[in-house]
Amino acid sequence: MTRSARLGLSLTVLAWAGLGLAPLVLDDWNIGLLTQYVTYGIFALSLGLIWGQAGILCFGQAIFFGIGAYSMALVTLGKLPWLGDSQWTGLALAVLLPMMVAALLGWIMFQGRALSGAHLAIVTLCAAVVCEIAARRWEFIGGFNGLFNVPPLSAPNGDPLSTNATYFFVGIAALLTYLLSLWIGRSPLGTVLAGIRNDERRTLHFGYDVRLHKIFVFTVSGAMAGFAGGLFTTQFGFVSPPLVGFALSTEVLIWVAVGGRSVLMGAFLGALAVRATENAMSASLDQYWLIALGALFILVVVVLPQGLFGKLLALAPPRRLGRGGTR
Amino acid sequence: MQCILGPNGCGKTTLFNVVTGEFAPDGGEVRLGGRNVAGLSPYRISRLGVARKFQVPGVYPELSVAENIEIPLAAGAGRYGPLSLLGYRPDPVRRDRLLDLCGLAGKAGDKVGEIAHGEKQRLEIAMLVARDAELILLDEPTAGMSGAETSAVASLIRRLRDEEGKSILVIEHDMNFVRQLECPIVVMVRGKIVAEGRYEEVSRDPRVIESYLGKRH
Repeated sequence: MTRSARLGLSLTVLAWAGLGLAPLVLDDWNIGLLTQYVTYGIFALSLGLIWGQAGILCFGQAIFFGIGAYSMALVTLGKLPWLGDSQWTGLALAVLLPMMVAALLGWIMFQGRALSGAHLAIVTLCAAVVCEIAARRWEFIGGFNGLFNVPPLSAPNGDPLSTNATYFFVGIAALLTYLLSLWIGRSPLGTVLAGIRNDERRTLHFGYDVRLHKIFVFTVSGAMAGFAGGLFTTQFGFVSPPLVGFALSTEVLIWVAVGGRSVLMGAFLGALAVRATENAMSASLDQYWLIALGALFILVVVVLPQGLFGKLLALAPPRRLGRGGTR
Repeated sequence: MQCILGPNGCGKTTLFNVVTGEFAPDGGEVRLGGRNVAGLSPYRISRLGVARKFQVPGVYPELSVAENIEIPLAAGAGRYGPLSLLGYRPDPVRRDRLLDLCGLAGKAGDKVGEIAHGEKQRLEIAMLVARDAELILLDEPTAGMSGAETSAVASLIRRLRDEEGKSILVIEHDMNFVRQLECPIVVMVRGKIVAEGRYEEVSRDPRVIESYLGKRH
């Protein structure tokens, strides 16, 4: 293992250990904030998987996050009585529904029109705008105001989970999502996806149905984003149309770009870092924090194209591939 | 092995594009093992046992040499679907043999974008072998190579024919390289075959000389 790969592994383990130990040093308020950031981290992982691994630049990732959030809210508020009001059912729907929507959207974009690059970005951007407008006008899901009083995560006896218990629940969910993404990325499927990102035509001529692979990874990513959305709504207690819209889709792109899209842990920590910075900036810079954040984003993209953590957190390649290179 | 020779613009690469499904033909058939494959998509034709080398090396510059080999190796093992790839473990002995074949045994972890042009060309040929195709199409496999590298590639291609038993179609316009391949040749001019035979025959054919050097006045 090279020195940089050893450093990447050590920092990755250290980051997870640090997150595990955070309740020892942070108060309830900050643990609540960190739980939200970790949820956004899961969302960022979903984009990191398709953008970093397969080169699919999606400007509508919030569509899946928002559908997951609405699914959780609709079930737990009893608006879908035939499904009951269990949070587990809510979470299952928050994964399944966005997954199906992602599969359908992926099929239309990749199988139907073979979109890629800027065309794909524009179509997903438009889809996010359309979804947000549709959510505003659909009274069943609360229209412009959205849905309120979504119950927080609760224990089997019905009592709401404590702040720390919620944090650990979300933290373990994030770790499992990370490991799933890492498993895909480091498997031969990950190599083929990287091949598609690098040279789609070449991969096609080796016998791979490139569109099918894109639809598959897009679907998995949609499920992950929906899962994050489901967790999100239990923490904030509400869902509203901007959650499926363009603005959040752009934000997640910034988190992933700042963290480093080529490394999954970079994408995850990018969400935490940007959200924490936003929080600090909004407190100290008042209404100018958005300008400062925009400037920070431009600076990072221009000066550090691999993101803040892209190089630091790069892992050694899987053992089957031998020495050298990074993933 | 069969070599297709002809000046630039005579339709050699277009022929490969039709055979591999990149273009659908306006008419006629492309028969592979008795089956008409004209109009099928490239990945379907590839699955029938056709692998293609591109004029500009068709390698993955951002990936390591080992990763470049793994992609066709998995396809050669019939692991085309996303789920079947998740559980695939490539045979390390076969991978090492392929790396030996292209002379990159010590460079498995090197990024392909950083290796020499000749190494990329050899790597792509090894990738075609990894794909385990029965018919290999090589589009100007020595483009941009020195004389010594050209001889090494000619030797590698002959090994593919003699030791691996592959059927090979080579597009080329470098007569010296074609001579080293020791195979039958067809010469194309403006989309039509104008001569056929061994190197010694076609190199003396007046139509071939004319297509390369122009008409004597």
